Amino acid sequence: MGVEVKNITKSFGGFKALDNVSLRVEEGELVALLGPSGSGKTTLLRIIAGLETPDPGSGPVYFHGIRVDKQKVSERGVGFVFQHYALFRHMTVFDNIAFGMTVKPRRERLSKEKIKEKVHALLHMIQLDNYAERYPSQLSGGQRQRVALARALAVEPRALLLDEPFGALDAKVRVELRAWLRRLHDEIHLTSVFVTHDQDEALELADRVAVMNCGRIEQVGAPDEVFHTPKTPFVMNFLGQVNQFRGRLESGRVWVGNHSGKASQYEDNNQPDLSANASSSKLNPVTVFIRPHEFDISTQPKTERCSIPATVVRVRSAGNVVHVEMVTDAGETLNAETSHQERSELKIEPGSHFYMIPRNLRIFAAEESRDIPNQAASF
Amino acid sequence: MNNIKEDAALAQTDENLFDYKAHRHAVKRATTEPGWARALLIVVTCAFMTLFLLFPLVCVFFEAFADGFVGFRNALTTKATFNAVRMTLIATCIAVPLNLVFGLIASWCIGKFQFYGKELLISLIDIPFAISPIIVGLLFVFLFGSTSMLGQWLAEHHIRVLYATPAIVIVTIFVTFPFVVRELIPVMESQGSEEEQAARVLGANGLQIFWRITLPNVKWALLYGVILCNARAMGEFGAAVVVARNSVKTNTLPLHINALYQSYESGAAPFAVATLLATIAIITLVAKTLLELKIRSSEKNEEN
Repeated sequence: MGVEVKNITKSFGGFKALDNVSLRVEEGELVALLGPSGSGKTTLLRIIAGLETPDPGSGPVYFHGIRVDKQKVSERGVGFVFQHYALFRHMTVFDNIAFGMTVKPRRERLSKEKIKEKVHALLHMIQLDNYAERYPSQLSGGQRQRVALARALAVEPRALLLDEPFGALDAKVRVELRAWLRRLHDEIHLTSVFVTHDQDEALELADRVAVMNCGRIEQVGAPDEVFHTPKTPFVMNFLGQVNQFRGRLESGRVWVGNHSGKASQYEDNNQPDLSANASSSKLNPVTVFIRPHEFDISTQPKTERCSIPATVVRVRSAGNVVHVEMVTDAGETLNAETSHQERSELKIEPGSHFYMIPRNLRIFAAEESRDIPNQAASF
Repeated sequence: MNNIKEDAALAQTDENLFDYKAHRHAVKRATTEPGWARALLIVVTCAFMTLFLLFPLVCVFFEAFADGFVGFRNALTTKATFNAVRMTLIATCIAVPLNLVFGLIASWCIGKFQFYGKELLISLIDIPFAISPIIVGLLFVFLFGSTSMLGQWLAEHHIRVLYATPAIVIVTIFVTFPFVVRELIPVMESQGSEEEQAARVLGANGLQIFWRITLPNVKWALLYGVILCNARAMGEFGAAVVVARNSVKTNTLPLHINALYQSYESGAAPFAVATLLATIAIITLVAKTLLELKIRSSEKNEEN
């Protein structure tokens, strides 16, 4: 087992940054803590590292089954990569990477030659062989980030923790470095946790993603799992684009607009309370989430399916897919994606009217969805 | 941006052939002073500096040799001058290291931590700048004098503070107290504590973090503060004159110069001794300028 934290709570003054959070990271796994700013993800990472102390009454922190929450930061043996690198500005790249090895007590310290050998091996790994004598100020952002990573790995940490590792880099470098880090992780298989607010980064890089909101972990799962079967409205909303509609659930049918479909034909309604309610004849207000790419566009409503009548407002066709902005007859915004081919076949132009038939939708009880930010379809 | 677009549009119309060079020249003229004004300002500044700063300094060296080189040498080699140099060195050698250590500690805790009453502490550090040195001297006379409880206790134990070396040292420490702290606080604040955290995660202990991370990062600012502190410690007059009471034994260099000057018979002697202080001042200026260049270039490095 890699890293485990149990029932961690942390408050800053009156603000609860973490609320009874537990997380388990398997040995050799790469886990992303994903969430908006203020969701507590960095605080959790810093508690794992020992840079923050959780509130009294919080549970333990384990590294490989050994309890470490009473250990000092310097004894935990973690590698930590800071968002702004925190390289030692007055030291060369070589001295930066060697630092962790040179501060060890004399009897544990490697010989000068061994340290040199190891630093050069790490420099080779981060593809900066000829940069040993440079200073951090002479490196680009991506190079600094790699040096920070090599410095963290030099002490052979028990776990690698990365705080927004690509946050300060420009888009192109970020994508390159992301792929590089994934390859590196596949080679060295070090238990790793990284914090990000970028869903693409989390979904592409991580073995598992922990989606955080307001100091809690909303869902932990493989990227596919959290994306396709979100357990809470927040996760649904946060990962990928999504349309959000008011609807109702009645006698096993879900109503959106004037048309209804059998709730059971849609997958992933893993809401136990809903499935219980679904069969009742009582009318339940619900929130319905539909991803932009999960619409069929039709000129006619379809029987036994939800069909949402809507008018095209704007069409953006620069890109792989065509983005269609629409307004439903009920006045709600609807964003859909379609292919260039379908667009020309159906003549999707501003002003034309269609029935949008969701292939798939997710239903959450309406009460719950009230406190989620309406960031639906903001693309 | 809009203006440029409009100008470009104007330039394209036939009736309004727009002369771009003239336009840019006009803009430049509108935003800089005319040539004669600049020349006047430069002349005034230079004349003022020559008259009030450079000229007196040159005069000191000129006057010092009024009695010839022998007179100059004799003035410097008297017992009293020797004593004054010794006293100044003692006061400086105690005050500067103490303020260096204190400055590091205070700026460390102010720059890297948040705590209640921090603003108040920062204001308190400036007290020596705000109070006239004479008042400082009187304050210590009052504190250590025979009328105070502390003064009585010291007298009972036959410890001489006032009108002796300890008093000179204490007022020097007091007066030079803010220099190092003042230089270090902004540097410490701007650097934050991320590097220290990184070092801690990598296994360094507190001492290693201080010697290998914190100190090297502030070394230029620290040296700058020490130089200013040193200059002030050597030149301190106002507070020292009150607590030394003008005896040959406790005179520092500035006090000695004053005593020589007051005696009227000494001719060029006060100026000869004054050249010592003036030389120290010039060395300080040069060192300060070099350090400023160094700090600026290292800041530039960090920005990249």
